[in-house]
Amino acid sequence: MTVLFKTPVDSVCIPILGWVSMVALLLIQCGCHHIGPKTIVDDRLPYNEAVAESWKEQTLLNIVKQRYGDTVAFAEVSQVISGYSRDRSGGVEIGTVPGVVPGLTPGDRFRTLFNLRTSFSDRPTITYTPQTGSQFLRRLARPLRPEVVLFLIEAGYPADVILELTVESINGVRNRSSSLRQARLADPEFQRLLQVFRRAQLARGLSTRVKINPEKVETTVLLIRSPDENIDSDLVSDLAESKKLLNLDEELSEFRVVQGSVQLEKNQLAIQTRPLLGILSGLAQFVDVPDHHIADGSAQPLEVSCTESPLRVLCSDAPPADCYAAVPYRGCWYWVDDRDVVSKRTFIYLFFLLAQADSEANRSLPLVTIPVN
Amino acid sequence: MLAGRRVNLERSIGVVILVTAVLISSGCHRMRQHLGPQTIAADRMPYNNAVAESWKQQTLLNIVKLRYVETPFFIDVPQIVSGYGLDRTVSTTLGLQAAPNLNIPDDERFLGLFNLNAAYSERPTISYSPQTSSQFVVNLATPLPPIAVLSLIESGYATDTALQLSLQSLNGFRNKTASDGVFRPADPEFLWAIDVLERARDSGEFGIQIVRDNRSSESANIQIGDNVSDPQLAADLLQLKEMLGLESDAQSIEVEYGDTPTRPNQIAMKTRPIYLVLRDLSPFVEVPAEHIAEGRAMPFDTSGEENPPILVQCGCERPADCFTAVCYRDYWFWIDQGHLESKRTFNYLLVMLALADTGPKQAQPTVTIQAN
Repeated sequence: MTVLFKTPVDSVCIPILGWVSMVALLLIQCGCHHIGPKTIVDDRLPYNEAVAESWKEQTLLNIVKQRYGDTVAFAEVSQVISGYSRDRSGGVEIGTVPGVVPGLTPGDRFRTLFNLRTSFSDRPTITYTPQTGSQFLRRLARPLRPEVVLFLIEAGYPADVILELTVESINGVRNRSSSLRQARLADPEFQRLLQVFRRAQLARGLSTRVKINPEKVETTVLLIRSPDENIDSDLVSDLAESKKLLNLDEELSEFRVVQGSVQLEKNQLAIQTRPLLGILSGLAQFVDVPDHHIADGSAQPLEVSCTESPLRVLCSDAPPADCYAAVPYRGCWYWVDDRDVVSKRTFIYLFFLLAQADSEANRSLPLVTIPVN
Repeated sequence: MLAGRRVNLERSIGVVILVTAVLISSGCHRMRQHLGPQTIAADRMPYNNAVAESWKQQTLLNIVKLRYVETPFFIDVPQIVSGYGLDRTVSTTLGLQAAPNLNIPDDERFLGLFNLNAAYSERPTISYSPQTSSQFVVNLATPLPPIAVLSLIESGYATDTALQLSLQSLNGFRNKTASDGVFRPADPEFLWAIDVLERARDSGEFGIQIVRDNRSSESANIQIGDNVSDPQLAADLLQLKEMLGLESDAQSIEVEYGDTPTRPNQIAMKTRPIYLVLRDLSPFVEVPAEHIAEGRAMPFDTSGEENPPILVQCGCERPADCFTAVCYRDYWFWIDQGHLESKRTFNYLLVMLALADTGPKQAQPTVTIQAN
C-alpha cells in the first residue's frame, strides 16, 4: 500500500506547489501593475487631439457646405468615458477519477488540470450632443451684438481680422458682402479703415467702455483718443483719418455704438454685424470648387474674387498628407494648407465666435451610468 | 478486503474534508488583508501623478500648438472609477461514478476532485470631458478681471510673475507681446514697475484690498505703505508713483481695467485673456528650422529676452529627465527640469485656467453598484 500511494502523494505535492506559486504570482502582479493610471497619460492627449482635429474638420465642412447651399450642422463631443477591463484567472483541479478498465491503481487514476485565462477589453463610450435646439439655431441666425465685436478688439485681438470677419458695415462703409448670391468686394474705404484701426489699436488709440446713465441703461461707447493728449503724430493722423472715413464729428472722442447700418447722428457708430451663419457663408466665398460643380449648378458661382482673403480652402481629388484640416464632400477633398497661417488664425477666432452661439440653457446631457463590477 | 477498501475510502473522504476546511479557514484568515485598501495605497499616487502629468503635457501641447497657429483645446479628467475584483474559490467533488465498464470494482469508481480557482479583474473607468462649453471658451477669450489677478497676488503668488503673465499693459506701459508674427519685448518702464512692486511686497509695504460696495460689485485697491525703511525702495516707490501719475502721498490706489486711468489716483491695468497668455508664451518654444522655413510655424525673434518665462526645447529624441514632454508633428518638445522659471509659470497657468472654468459643470457619469 505504501508503495502504491507513494506516487500520488508526490504528484499531489507538485501541483499544490504549482498552484500556490501561480496564485502568488497572480497576486503579486495584481498588486503592483495597475493599468488605470497609465491609461490617463496614454489617453488624455490623444483624446484632446481627436476633439481638436474633429472640431476643425466639422467647422471646415460647414463652411464648404455653405458654398453648396447645404444645411449646416454641429455636434459637440460632450463626454468621453474610457473603460478598460483586464481579467486574469487561474485554477487547478486535482483528484482521482474512476478507472476506465478494471485494475487501475489510484496513481493511474490521478488527474491534474491547470487552467489559466487572461482577457483585456477596451470599452470607450463617447457622447455627442447635436446642436439642433431652436435656441442654438436662433443664435446662429441672429447678428452678433456690436459690443461683442468691440470687446474682442478691446481684449487685444487684431481689429482688422475681427472686423473683417464679423462686420457687414460701419456707418455705411461696407465690408465685402457675406451673401454668396450677391458677392461684392469691400469698399476701398473699409479696407483703409481696417488698416487704420489696427494701427490705432496697437498704438492704444481706441478703447471700448460701457457707460451706465442715471436710468441704469448701459450704452457701449468707442473712445477714439483726441489729439490734444500726448500721442505721437502717426497716431494723430490715423485717428483723424478713421473719423473722416466713418463720417464722425472730428471734435468728439466718444461715440455711441448702435446696431444697424444707418448712422443717424454724427456721434454715433452704427455697426451692422453679421450673424454667425453670415460669417460662415462669408468665408464660403474662399472655397475652391471644381468647375463641374459650378456647371451643374450644385455650387454657388461667384462673380468677384478677393485678393486678400481671411481663408483659403483648396480642393483636389486627394488631400495632401500634411494639411491643417481636410474633409471629403461630394466626391472631392477640401483642405486648408498647413502653411497658411492666415487661414489657421481665422479658425482660432471662429472657435471663439462660435462659442457665442452655443447656449447652455437647454442642454440635457445623457446620464451615463457605470456599473461597478 | 472490501472492508479495508471502504476504510481507505472513508479515510480519503476525511482527508479531503480536512484539507477543504483548512483551505477555507485560511481564506477567511486572509480576509484581514482585503484587496480594497491595498489598491488605494497602490493607485492613489499613480492616479495623482497621471492626472498632473497629463495636465502638464496638455498645457505644453497647447502652447506649442499656438506657435503653429492651431486652436487650443482642453480636456478635463473629472472622474476616475477604479474597480477591482478578486475571487477565490475552493470546491470539492466527491462521489461514486457509474462506471462505463461493469467489471470495475466499487472503489475504483471513486471520484474525488479538488478545485482551486483564483480570478482577478481590474476595471478602471475614466471619464474625460472636453472643455468646449461656451462659457469656458468665452472665458478663455475674455480678459481676466484685474481683481482676479490681484487676488492671486494677495494669496501669495509672486507679483512679478503674476503680472508679467497676465498683464497686457500697466497705465499704458506695455508688456511683451507676440502678435502678427512679431515679438515685441516689454517696455523697460513696465519691467521696472513690476520689479519695484515685487520688492515692496517683499518688505511688506504693498498690499491688496478687495472692496465690496453695496451693489455687491467688487473693486480692488493697491495699498502702499508710507514709512518704508529701505531708502532705496522708498525712492523707487516715489518714482513709480510719479511715473504712474499718482500723488506722491497716495496710499490706497484704485485699480481699473483699461489702457489709461480715467480718474486721478487710479491705475489702469489691461489684463489678458488666457488665450493671449498662452499665445504670448509661444515665442519661447523652439521649433525646427524647416517648420519656420515652410511657414508652418510663426517666426519669432526672442533673442532680446534675457529672462524668458518659459523655455521649451525641441528635438528628435525624448530626453530622459524632463519636467514634461510632448510629441507633436514627429518632434519632441520638452521643458528642462532645471528651468525653474518654466515650472513656476506652469503653476500660475494651472490657477489661471481654473479661473476660466466657471461654467456650469457637465453632468458626470453616475456610478451604479449592483447589490448582491
